[in-house]
Amino acid sequence: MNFFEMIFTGQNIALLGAGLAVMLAGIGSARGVAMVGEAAAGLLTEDPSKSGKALILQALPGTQGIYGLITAFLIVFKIGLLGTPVELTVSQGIYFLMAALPIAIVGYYSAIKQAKVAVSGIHLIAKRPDEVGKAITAAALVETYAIFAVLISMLLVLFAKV
Amino acid sequence: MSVSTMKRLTVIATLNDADAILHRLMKLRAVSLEQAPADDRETLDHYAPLANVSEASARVARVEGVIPVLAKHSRQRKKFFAPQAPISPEAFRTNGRFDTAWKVVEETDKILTRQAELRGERENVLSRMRAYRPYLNLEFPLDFTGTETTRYFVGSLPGGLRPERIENALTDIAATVHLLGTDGTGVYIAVIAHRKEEDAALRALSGLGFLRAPLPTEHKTVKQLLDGAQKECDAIEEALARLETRLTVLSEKLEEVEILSDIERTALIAEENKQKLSMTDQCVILTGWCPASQEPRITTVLSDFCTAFEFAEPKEGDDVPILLRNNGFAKSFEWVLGMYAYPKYGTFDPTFIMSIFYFLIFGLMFADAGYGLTLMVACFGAVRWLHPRESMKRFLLMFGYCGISCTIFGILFGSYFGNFPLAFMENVMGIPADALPNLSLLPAEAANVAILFDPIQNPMAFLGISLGMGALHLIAGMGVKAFVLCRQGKVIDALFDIVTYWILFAGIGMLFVSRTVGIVLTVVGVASVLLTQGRQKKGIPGKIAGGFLGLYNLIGYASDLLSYCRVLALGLAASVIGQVVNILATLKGATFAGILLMLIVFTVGHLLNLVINILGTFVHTSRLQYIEFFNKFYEEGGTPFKPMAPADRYSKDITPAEGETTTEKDGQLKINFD
Repeated sequence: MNFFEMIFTGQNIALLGAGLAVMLAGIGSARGVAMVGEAAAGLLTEDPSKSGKALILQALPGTQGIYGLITAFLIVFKIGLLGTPVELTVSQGIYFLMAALPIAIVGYYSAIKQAKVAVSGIHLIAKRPDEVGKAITAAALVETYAIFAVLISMLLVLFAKV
Repeated sequence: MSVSTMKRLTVIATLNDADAILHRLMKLRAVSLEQAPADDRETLDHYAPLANVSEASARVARVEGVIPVLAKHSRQRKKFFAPQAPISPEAFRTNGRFDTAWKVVEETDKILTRQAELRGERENVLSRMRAYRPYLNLEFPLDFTGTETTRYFVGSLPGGLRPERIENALTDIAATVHLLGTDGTGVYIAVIAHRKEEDAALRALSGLGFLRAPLPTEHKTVKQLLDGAQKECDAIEEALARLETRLTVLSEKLEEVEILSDIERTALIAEENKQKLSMTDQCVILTGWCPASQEPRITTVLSDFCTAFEFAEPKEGDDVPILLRNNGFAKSFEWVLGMYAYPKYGTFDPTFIMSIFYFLIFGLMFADAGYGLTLMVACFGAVRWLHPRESMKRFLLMFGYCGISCTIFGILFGSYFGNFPLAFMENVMGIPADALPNLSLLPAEAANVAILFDPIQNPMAFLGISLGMGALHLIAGMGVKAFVLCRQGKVIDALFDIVTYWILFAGIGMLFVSRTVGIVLTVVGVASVLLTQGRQKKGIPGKIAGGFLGLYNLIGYASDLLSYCRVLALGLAASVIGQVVNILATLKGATFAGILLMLIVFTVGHLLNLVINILGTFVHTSRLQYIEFFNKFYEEGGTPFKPMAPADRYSKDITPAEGETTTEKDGQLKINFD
């Protein structure tokens, strides 16, 4: 067995998928939550009583990271790393890698885009605190696509034949 | 489940009665004022000067400014849901409590000013002490400048200067340097020079950066000076401590000051509302809105005065404030509606039908009996024992009801803190999960405790249920639209815009059950949409285009429906994280350490999952209402009815107003708006 075959086992390629789901979606969420957090801190210097509303908006772009985590966990379950490991062919490993890509990529991108909407939402509640519902809804609309992506990723993993 | 009928109230009263009428109406909590007509500037004048408002708000600011200070010194722990103190504002003003509370505010204010002064003084003394300290070794009194033949002076050189350099600089000069001390910033020296060499010595030292010491010329040594300053400092500290003690004593009156802040805020609200009145030489005119149900109470109040008043129906184009009227269950969901927008006056109030779907979708999205029960206990428990305010109570009740729904769906889909029963059985009790008989209705590949089926094992079936719920929701939305159209007498529109699509949907649905029926219904549906959707367009080409556009609407309905697959996604997300927590919690099996680990990981992990998912489920259930459901029929844009009322942040007026009944239970006042 040469070096290349030792590294690129089906198992490892599947793990690469799980890792990408956690990493990319997580990086996106981290950036997003940080962006909203900065804006929220600015708002709170003016009016600390809005912290509850600001916190909800800040938490919104955090969900993509959770979706990435869930996908990764499902892959780890499915390939038996927490119980008896399943022997995977290279093509099966690539299947898991592919299955992880929707949430990895859409999660990264949508978290940042959602954060931009949430930052605008922070500016909105600075002036009109009663309109927090609209600010949250506007940000939640962006999340729809992360939800579609994680749904496909999860279904692909759940229906994988191993 | 409707928008209350509102009446426009116009009152003309004598000038003398105006304040009293306003006061009594405020107590009713049933009228919101509007700016009185100001079109006729020559005869109508503002009732109250604007300066009154700023004066009242300055008083409020003063009282509210000392509350945090007193709260910080108060020995009582501040409760999260502090109960409102029952008071009678009239008695509070007359029996001296008002004056006592104001005295507390004034004294606290004075103490705060004095504290700021003292802190400033202390800073001065401390900086003086910092300047003296390096010269502590100086033993001569500070007014000593030399003898008959010598000059004596002290000062500092820049830090890090080597002693040799000083000596080198002073060679050939009859002067001697005595090193007093060094620190990071300076080298401190005393110099004795011959009178004739004084200038030369100073010049040489200046070259090195010599600065005379900033010491007063008194007949005291530095040590005495420092001791004196220290005494001053101690005295200031003592004074500050005395003030702190006094604040602690004053903080026992915190509750009185809080009540006072309500009283002053009530006065401010009254002043703000007086701005909306107009007057002539003798009379004052007041206009506003009230629920029609409140007419008798308002009439009782106004009849006590010499007034002319009328309750009029709203006119076209009036901005009528909205008061929603719902049963207890739906009332708890009004704030969800309020986060979006209130309905326009005279349109349909969707709170009740929304609350039912909110309940169902929330439960389906977060189907877990463990989390549901936790939510129920926490929310209903808080309402029962902590006596929160009305708005907080509605918030908690809403989540409590959603907890019931989560529990029901959790039992149906066999989720109790994720798969905790199975994980516990397998890893702690050592029973293989395969030993469980399959009790669920659908055939299952692996063990589960579901009544219907386990969504993780059978996600497609759960997706079907999610989309089915979505279809129901959308059809209900269209149904409301049909109902609204029929109520407006547009039965034809309801038939063509709603029922034709329903036939089409039924046809598509039936395709999966019976092909022939499905095909027939679909064709009839498509034909009726094509034929009716262009009916308002002019000309044959317009009508044909309209028909096809109507068919194109199907895409919109399909995308609305697919949006409901988030129910599956969020549901799976909650159970997968729950499973992970359970795996970690039961990792060490049935040992003592294992059980301890289980308790900690279980509590922390599931609490975290609960919080994350409540937020996600709340946001996305709301979104399904706002975007998918409301766009079928909702006419938003009303402003909520906010009657003028006394401030009740800390206290509650328990003297009954007209038409109020005091309920036995916790002595709370209930206003019957029905």
